[in-house]
Amino acid sequence: MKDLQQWAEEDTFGDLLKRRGVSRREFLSFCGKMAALIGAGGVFAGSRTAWAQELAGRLEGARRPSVVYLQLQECTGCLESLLRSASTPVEELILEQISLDYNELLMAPSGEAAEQALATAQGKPHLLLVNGSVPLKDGGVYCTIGGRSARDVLERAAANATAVVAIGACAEYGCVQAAAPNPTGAVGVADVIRDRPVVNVSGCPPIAETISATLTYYLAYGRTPPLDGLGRPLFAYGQRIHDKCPRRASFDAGQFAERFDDQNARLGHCLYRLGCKGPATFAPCATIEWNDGLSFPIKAGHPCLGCTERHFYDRMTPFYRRLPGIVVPGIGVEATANTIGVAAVAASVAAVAVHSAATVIAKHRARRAEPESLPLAVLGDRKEADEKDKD
Amino acid sequence: MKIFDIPEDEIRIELGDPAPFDGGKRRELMLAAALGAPVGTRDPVDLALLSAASRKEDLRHFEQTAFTPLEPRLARSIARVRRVGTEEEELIARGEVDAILYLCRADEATRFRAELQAEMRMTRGYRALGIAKAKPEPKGNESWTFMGYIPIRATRHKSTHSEEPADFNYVTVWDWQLRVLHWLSVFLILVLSLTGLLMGSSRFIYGVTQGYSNYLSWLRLTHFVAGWFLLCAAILRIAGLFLASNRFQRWYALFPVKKRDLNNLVQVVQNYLFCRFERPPHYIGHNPLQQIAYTAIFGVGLAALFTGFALYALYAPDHWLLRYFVWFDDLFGVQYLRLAHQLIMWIFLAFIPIHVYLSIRADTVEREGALSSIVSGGRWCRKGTKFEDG
Amino acid sequence: MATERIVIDPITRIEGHLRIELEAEGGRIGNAWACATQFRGIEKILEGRDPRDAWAFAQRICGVCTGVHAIASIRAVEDAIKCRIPESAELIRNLVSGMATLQDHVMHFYHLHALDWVDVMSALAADPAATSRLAASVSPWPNNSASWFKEVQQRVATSAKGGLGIFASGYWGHPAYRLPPEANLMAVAHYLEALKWQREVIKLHTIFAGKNPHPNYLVGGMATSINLDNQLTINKVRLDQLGELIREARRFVDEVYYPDVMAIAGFYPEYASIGVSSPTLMAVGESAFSCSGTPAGKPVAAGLLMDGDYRTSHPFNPRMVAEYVSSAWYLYPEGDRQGLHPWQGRTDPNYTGPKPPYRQLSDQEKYTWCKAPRYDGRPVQVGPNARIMLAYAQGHPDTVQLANRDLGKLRAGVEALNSTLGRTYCRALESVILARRMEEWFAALNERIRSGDVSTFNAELWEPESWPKQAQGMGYLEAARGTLSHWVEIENGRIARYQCVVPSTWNSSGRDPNGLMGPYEQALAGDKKHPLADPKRPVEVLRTIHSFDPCLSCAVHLLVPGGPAFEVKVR
Repeated sequence: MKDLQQWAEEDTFGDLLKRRGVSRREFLSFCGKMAALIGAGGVFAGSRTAWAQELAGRLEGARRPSVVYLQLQECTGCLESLLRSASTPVEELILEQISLDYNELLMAPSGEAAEQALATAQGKPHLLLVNGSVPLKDGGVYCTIGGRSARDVLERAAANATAVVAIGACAEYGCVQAAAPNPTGAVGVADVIRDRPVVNVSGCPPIAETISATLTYYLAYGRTPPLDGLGRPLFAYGQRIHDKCPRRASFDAGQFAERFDDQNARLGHCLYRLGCKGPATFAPCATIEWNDGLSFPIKAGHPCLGCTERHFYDRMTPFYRRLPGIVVPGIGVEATANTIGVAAVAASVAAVAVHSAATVIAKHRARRAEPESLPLAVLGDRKEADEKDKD
Repeated sequence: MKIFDIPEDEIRIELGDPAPFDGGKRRELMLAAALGAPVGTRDPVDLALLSAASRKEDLRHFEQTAFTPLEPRLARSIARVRRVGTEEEELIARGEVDAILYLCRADEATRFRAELQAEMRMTRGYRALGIAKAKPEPKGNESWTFMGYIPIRATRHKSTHSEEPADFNYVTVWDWQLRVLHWLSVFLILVLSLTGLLMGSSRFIYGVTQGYSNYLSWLRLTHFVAGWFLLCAAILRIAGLFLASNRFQRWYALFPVKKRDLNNLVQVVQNYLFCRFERPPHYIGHNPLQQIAYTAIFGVGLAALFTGFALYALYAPDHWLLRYFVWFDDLFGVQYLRLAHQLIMWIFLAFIPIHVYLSIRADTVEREGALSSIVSGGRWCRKGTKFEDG
Repeated sequence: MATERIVIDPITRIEGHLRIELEAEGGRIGNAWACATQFRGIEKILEGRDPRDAWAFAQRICGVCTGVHAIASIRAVEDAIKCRIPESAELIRNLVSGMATLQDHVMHFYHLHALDWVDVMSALAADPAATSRLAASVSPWPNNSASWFKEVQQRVATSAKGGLGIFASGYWGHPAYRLPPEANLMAVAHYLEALKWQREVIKLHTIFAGKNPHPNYLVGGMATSINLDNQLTINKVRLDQLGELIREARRFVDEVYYPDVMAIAGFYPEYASIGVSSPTLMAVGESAFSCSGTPAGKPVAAGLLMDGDYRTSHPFNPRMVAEYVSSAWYLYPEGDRQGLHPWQGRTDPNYTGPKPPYRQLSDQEKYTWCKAPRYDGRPVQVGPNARIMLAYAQGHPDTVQLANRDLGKLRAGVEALNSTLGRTYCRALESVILARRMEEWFAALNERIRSGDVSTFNAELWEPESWPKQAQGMGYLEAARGTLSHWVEIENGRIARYQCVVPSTWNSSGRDPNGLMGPYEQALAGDKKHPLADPKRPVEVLRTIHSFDPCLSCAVHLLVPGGPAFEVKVR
């Protein structure tokens, strides 16, 4: 008897859906959602409905993927994010299936069997998902799993992976633990696995739907989605939050909240001057939104921290300033670019004033310093000069 | 130094404002000074006095009947002149003011006044030539009248220091294309700075708009359009480096490379620093310091363009052109790029006063014609000046 | 019988990365070592940064108890700069951290802890109708229908046949499981319901703080403005949604979580005396209470129960806290015997353990990344049981009333709360109380809005120029897992020093210079009586460790229906 729960090797995803009793309607609605998400990045031409149909067709035909899901140096927030929004039956199913080989890998009841499962999973082509960064410093002692360093665990799992998906900022580049001075030498997956492209689902954490859409894409098309220069799927990270922001009209109108909870903030005006990083942040927050599309930070009144951008803990900080300040060397005083600029202009004007004053003085002196009149015969100088010559 | 060792054409005699005494007229004083010169004199001062007087009076109406040359002890010469066609004769004495005053036995007040005045006014190398006249009397009983004095200065000047238009050549330095680009860039940079400041600083716009408007959109649009134009200007200028026929505009004019130019660089820096004027080296185009400064500011402009377009690229990272700028965003992070972009604007704004000042100064003080050349395209070069890039 | 060495790494179904090494003899645990095997150095990274940004860094210490570090951080900074926040912001923070705690407790019980008590496979033998009757007898929860239980049973059945699926790889059939099939089935069904529930109720965070995990906080208040007449603020739509979420949260706690815990507890009375840990317990207030500076909480005051005297509440003095590194891989210039107060605290990693891959850590003097905080030299237990026991000692009415009722049912004294079962029970008890408090807070917030006081942010001390040149601050939070404190020192507007004393640091700490074990270790090996029937299937150990709800900030577990289970390496 065929196991109803299990996605067997010979099954397509469509078969599994049928057996699990997921209705066609539920499935198509899921595909529509994913199509909207993936299509939002402008990756595909054509109408969204047509594309949802196509996606559904392909997804139904997908074979069970072999998936290994690792968790390294991280905070579990990415996984929590997945848990928060896996709200449709299809999503639940996908998550369940994705975790399947993770069980074989890490959840086996004994050490020996775990080794065995790992060897089996690694021996076959599989999709590798990774949460968390890899601390390289001091031989990797800052994160060990089952006595092995994170790097060791990752490299073994990646050896036969057909595609590697780094989920979350930690797996992308190290996130908070890689912020200066990066005490544990944390790096991202792509810094360890260098021989093939790594898909980076950015964010601290990423929105659940971007993770599931990336996986759905892989299931449906058998390849990873098109990526931007940083390895992020274009469908989610192709545009800035700013370009889709509900407060954008205020930005264009020059209406800004100057302080939290001031009159403008209460009118829902733009948070740019409170340090919002939306204009520099490529993320689908404003379109997909968080927790089942309920809201997202900017909508809820807090400026974007730019968490889908690399090294945002160093490059987007201070979070509450539009621009970072500049520490004037020696004095230790922090100045804004404009303060420094105004000082520079003042200095240049002052220099001009000083120099022109110096010029006037020098000109005057030069005139005075011009040679005395030559000897004048009419005043009887000739004789003197001649006498001097004789001496 | 002996005056007659100096070639005549290098001696320059300047006559100051004549100072007549006792209600005399300047014209009379000048005439007297001229008539006091010996006939056939070659002395440059005499020649200058003669020349000055001849503009006012026909000297041929007078003839000299006797001349007592200057005796060093007395420090005066005396000429005896007669108006042609009359028997009326006059004695004219010239010499040091105090010697002439002594001759005149001037009263204390006149003496004091004349000496003090001469002392006060005879600055910058001027010296006073005192003039006195008398009716000829036998046995030297003449009664001399102090007429006044004339400030005289004799300096050695090269002919290049003449301010006469005829001494200058007009040289074309900058093509019209370059001038257009320059002024276009000035305009664009000002527009970019202004819009950039307005966009970046709430102090300027806070409270400007209530209700719906596109205030910031317009600012941004202006900024972006100006940015595109500036990019075009930059591209044209770079093309000009290789295409221009004008050697002052070609790429090798970007930096001082010759050893001589490098040495001159030090000289130029010192000249600017210590406010020296009219010193060599002279350049028709840019001097080495200008080359470095202008090339640097051009580089800063390129940096502004690059950072600006890298920021602009954020709106469409896969744009066919902008995609080449996007990688820059990931290098340091967008915030620091924005910071750099803003700081670069301030470099421009700080550069402008210095640039304008030095250009005006070059025109007025150094006579290098930098300001006029960027307007008219050419400049006046003094004949005979040795130009390093001539 | 020879002493067996047992290594459990990773301990799964916890928030964090923990390795337990044990020595067992004759079915009893003789010795235990708790090893935190991960270090990220966030305290060090924070140095030199803008204190207003600190929360965002600290928050990433943990994504499961997400937000608690952020609150402690902003509280510490506010204490340092002496910023008082508006009352509405205070209420919003309470609601946000209260909901985090509720969600955390429920998830902990069902998804991390329940499978230690519930034999999933036994549920197959249950009669769905009987289950429905059983459920109806303990709770009016409307979902407890026979058809729903049947569906759940079906799923478990198919899953069991494949040997994989939702509840794979458990220690099913272990004699330590004692629930009847119906109770097992009910718990499994509620496991699935809790998964859906937690997604919903946490939306309170999304409304007030933009997202979850890692909601946004703000030094000086909360970023969300209240304006009933705008789309992008807390308006009536949002208030209605919030009210619904809070009602939903309370209902589930009252009708599902609490009855389930009570039902299960009834079958495992001996665990009220197993896993007795450190007799000194500490809390700074009721659950979700947070404060800037020295805690002076109401209605439950900060205090300690010392040395097994559970009737007397001693006042809490933050000066008595010291952290030791005698068993942890850090370097103190003063040497390992010296304890440092968090304001002098240092975090200089100095790994001396074996080079990975390794087999054993407990043979080393230092074996963990976890410092050992001590209060006046005592290992201290923090968490729900500490809070409940302290509230009980102080005579907090709700707590006394509910605890007396339940302790009466279990025929146990208050000392039973310091046990494996006690910790699990206290979590449910305080959820009930907290859910009520949530409604009070929300009503208070609505009242303020009605009266027109909508301010949520104090801008006075926003700019660093308005701060003192040098300042120290501490922030406290009674997080889900216990007393959390952040300690910050600010110089010239920058963080000069940052230290966090995390609940799990108190609980999972290793041995101190006097050789005193940390609470985990004490719970396992303190009385040498902790059972461990089958070293290959250490379900008893997991019960006790999970009762602490460990949070070690780097997890290797997966919390999806795909399969909580654990790997045990036995040699």
